[in-house]
Amino acid sequence: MATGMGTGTAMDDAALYKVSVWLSPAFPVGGYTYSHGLEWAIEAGEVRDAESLRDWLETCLAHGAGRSDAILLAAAWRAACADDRAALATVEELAAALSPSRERALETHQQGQAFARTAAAVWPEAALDGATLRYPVAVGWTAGRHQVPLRATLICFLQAFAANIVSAGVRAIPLGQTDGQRVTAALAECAVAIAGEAETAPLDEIGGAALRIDLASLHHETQYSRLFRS
Amino acid sequence: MTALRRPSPARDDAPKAEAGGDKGVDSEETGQYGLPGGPRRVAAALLFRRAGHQPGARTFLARQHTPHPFHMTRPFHFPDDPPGMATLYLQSSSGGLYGDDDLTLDIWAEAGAAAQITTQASTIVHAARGGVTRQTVRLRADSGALLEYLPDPVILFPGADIAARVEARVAPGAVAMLSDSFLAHDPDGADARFLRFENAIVIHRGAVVEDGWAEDGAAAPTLVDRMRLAGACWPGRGTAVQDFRCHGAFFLVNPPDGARAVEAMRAALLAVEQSGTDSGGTGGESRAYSAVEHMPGRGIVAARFLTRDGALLSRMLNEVAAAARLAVTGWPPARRPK
Repeated sequence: MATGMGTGTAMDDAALYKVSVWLSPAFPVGGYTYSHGLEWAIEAGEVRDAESLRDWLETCLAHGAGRSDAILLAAAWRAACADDRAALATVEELAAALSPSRERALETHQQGQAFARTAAAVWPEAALDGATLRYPVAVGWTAGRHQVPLRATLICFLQAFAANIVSAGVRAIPLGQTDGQRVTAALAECAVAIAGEAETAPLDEIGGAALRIDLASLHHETQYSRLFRS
Repeated sequence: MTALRRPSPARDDAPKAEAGGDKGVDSEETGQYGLPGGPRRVAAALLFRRAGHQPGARTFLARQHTPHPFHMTRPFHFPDDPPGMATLYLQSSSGGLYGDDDLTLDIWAEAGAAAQITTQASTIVHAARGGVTRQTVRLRADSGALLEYLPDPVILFPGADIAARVEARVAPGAVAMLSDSFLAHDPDGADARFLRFENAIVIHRGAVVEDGWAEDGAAAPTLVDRMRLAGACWPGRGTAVQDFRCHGAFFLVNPPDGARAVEAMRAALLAVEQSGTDSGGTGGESRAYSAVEHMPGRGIVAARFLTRDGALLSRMLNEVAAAARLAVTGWPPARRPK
């Protein structure tokens, strides 16, 4: 049975259920252990409340890994729909090379491996054996093989990306849970806009300028006291 | 004198310059500023070779193809540099980069050669006026080579619209250093902005095929750094804090001892950062942010920094490069007049 998603794109209920499961905090990719450099920004005093957390995340989404990962996901999704392993390899090579720091490389690599492993175990019919895929590539490929619409996958992916960093902020700043949810809610427009852009953007359009966030990731590696792996 | 052979199309959207003959401008279309006639495509090439096989043999410029607007000095050999190392200064005979410029420079250091390529001064990117300025530099370092590509910062003037790319192919046993930096400046002081800045750094490590720059299908990029920045966003919250208007990056590829290099580079940048702290009215607020990281799995040490002014940016670039050179070769760089 198809369910309208408010954008005019019909979506199978089974597909909706799957993408909700994959990008739920309960899906075992270890997302709660990564802060994307936020922990250092909090230590440095650059993120200290809900407003500055929102600014940080908006930059992440629009100028940083949010947008880049969304474009990678979309390319992997298209490769999956075409069953094009060569195209998938190209996307994966680029995803691996784009990580600006060792911790960010770890973040996308480990989450990708965990995602692919669990997805293959639970839904073996669409598994890609033996492949190492970075996180957005793994999600995009899996969604494509399961015929989950791209737009919905992108929105859910970006929501999960933002929510995970908000969760890190709630724990580390700290913030109240309700304030954290307000930040997540406030990012909806930005996330949806990026999803729309990423849906059709070619790989050549990957690029950003989240320079302070990249620096934070480098600094986090030598931060004295750390709760998070990135 | 023939140019190096041209590559097959690169994997992603590298701007291409057509192969040229010896006489200069390659394309019959010489339009500028978006006027009918198309982009001004010009390709230049430099090949550095070591004279003989003994260590310390002098590196010389074996091939040169430098049509207008490229202009180079002759190679220098500074006595305090690693033995035999050549230094060459890039200059522009046209006063900077303009809309519809599409310039490509290939730099190749053959096995055992040692060369530094730098600039006489910063490159100004002028208003594009409807065109898009393109600049591509392709570096190749063969086994045992030391290749340093250390240009001064690019200065983006109001209305500049540039797509720049540096691509490095570094063979096993070779060491490469490359820096990349920019700042925005409005000489009229009206806070007018550049339009767009797209900048890609692509580093490949591994075997380099014999015939020039031909694409090696097995050599996936080790690191891809892509910046896309609209002038309206610079500097902005998140992309850069407050008025940190200058950005720099430095990459050291294949250091023999990465851990040692990163410590040296980190110490050098920290020293500059600490000396750049404002005193008096600003209460000791830093004028720079920097970070260095060793990525051993990639064979790269990467440094990134943000500064409030161009002088501090240049100083950070110089100090981090000097620290890297010393860590890799045991030789600090000779003072280079500019």
